[in-house]
This record gives sequence, structure tokens and C-alpha cells, in this order.
Amino acid sequence: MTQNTQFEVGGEELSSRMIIGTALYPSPDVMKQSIVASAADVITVSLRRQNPADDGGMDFWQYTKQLGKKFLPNTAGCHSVKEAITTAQMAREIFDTNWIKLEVIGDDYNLQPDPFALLEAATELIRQDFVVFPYCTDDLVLCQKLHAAGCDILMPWGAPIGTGKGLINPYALKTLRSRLPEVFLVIDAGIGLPSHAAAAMELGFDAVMLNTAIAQASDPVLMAGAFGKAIEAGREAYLAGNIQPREAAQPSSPVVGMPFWHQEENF
Amino acid sequence: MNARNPDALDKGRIKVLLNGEVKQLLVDDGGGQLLSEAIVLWGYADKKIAVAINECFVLKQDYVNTLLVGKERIDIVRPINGG
Repeated sequence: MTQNTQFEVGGEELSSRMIIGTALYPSPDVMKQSIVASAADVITVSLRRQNPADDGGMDFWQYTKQLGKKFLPNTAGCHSVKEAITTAQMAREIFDTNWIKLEVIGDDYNLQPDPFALLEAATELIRQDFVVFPYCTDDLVLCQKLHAAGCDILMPWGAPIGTGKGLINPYALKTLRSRLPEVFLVIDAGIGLPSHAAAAMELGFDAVMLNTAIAQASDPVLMAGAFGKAIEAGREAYLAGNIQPREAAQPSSPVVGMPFWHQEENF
Repeated sequence: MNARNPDALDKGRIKVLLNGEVKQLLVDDGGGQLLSEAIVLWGYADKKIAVAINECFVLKQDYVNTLLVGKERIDIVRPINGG
């Protein structure tokens, strides 16, 4: 029986520990099938300028609305506190949710969040009754300050967005888990393989956010299912409790009663 | 020039930036045009959009009270895919 029962996040009941993005798929149909295969409850979405002659926005809206998933809009591409706050306000109106995946980029080369602007924007958005999901680094002090500002959910990166490198600093991530036990921790960005997602869940993370690793796989639908199984397996492994690694081998089969044991001495 | 709005291009017209492109609007006697009217004029009436003027969000219910008087930077956004 699965251990992935319902849980509450940001005022909503969820049952899946995967958050899935809606970008980079080869087609809308593949996106839809991948989301279904992932069994995720939450999908991330974004905002961009609208040309009135382009109906793409309406198509995307109707297409994703049919999926019946909870929207988590992002502020992707924002570089300042003001841009992020205004984008969050626009997203709240369009998607009719006070959830916001807050991204304030500080470095364009590796898309590393600006921790100072992130904290300032998060503080203001919480004051405006948003539920903030901040995309952050794995820095303990930053995460502590975001939590103190009112973020009960944190989304530290595993690695820079889209790199697929997996968990590049397991020590830092493990530290976050042990020092912030009450926070809902989501690995966001850098995941490339289901084994990376399973490893994050084995560390005790509460969920994993995925986009590129699924959308740009050769078979996104199959990969979405694979990630779903890996996340569930990692969660169950965490709940089950792992053995402690040791240096010396220890036989798993009982030694007592082994045939031929000391046979010659007893003859 | 419009008496109320010194930024008007000439009598009866103002210039704004819509999503980075220059747009001209006819103005009424009040020296501007309502955002709600401009949205219809630009073809957004039935679209799923949100609006910011000069990087400040404008609530949908305030479109009818928001007067464009010239030189505003207007962003109109739509939902898209995102990660």
C-alpha cells in the first residue's frame, strides 16, 4: 500500500508529491498526456505579453483548465522586486489563485536566484496574502530568513535550471531538511533523472518540481510515469528508514547452521 | 496640445507604449481615454489578460476608472506555459 496519502500544502489538499511544469513539450497533446501520466496535482504556468491577434493565450488557458489541476503561476524572468510583485499580482488575477512560485533571478548565466531581492519580494507578497513558493538556493541562512518571513514552503534548487545535473550539494540539502523540519521542502530545478528525484525524496524532501527532464525526454509521457514511480519510491524509502552504511561487510544469510562450517576441525 | 494633458501629440490624440510598441489613441474632452475602452479598441475584450501600467498592476474592476493620458507604458499579459 502506498504511503503517499493526502497532505495539506498552502491551504490545499494534495496527494501527489510531484509538481510538473507545462513548458518545453514537443506539442500540447504530449504535454497533456505527460501531466496525466505524472499524476501530479499541481502544474506550473507563467505569463507573457499578449498580442491581441494571437489566440495562443486562450488556447493554453482552455487546454490546461480542462486538466483540472491546481495552478502554480511563476514569476520566471523577473530580475527585480517590483517586476516580481507586479507579475505575481497579475498572475493572481489571471489564474485566480494566491499561490505564486516566486523567482527573482540574480544571475543570467546560471539563473541563480537573487537572495536579497527574493527575500524582499517574498516578505511583501506574504503581506499581500499570497502563498509564496520561493525558488531559492540551498543556502541555510537564506532559507531560514524566508521561513521567518512567512514562507512555509521552500523550493531550493538541486542544480541550476535545466542542467539535469541532479543534487549537486546533498550536504546542504540534508542540512535544510534537518534544520527546517516544519517547512514543506520542494526540490526545484536541476533534476535530470528519476534517480535524482528519488534521492531527494530519500533525504526527506516533501516534493519535487520537474519540467525539462520530462518535457525534453525522448518520450516525455513515459518519463513522466517513471518520475512518478521514483518520487513515490523515494518517499516510501524515507518513511521506512534506511540502514546506516558501514565499512565492513556483514552477511545477510544466517551464519549459524551453515553446512561445511568447521567441518574438518570437528572430524 | 491638449489643455489638460501636455503630453498629447496634438489635439485629440495621445501616444502610449503597449507591450513595447507605440500606439496612438483618440482622446475625449477629458484629455484621455479610459483603459476599458482602449482594451476593447486593441482587441483584448474577450481575452484572458492582466494589465500593468508603468509596472503597476491594475485590477480588472479598475479598468473603467483608469484614464490613459499619454506616455503610459502598458503591459498586457496572457497565460502561457511555464516551468
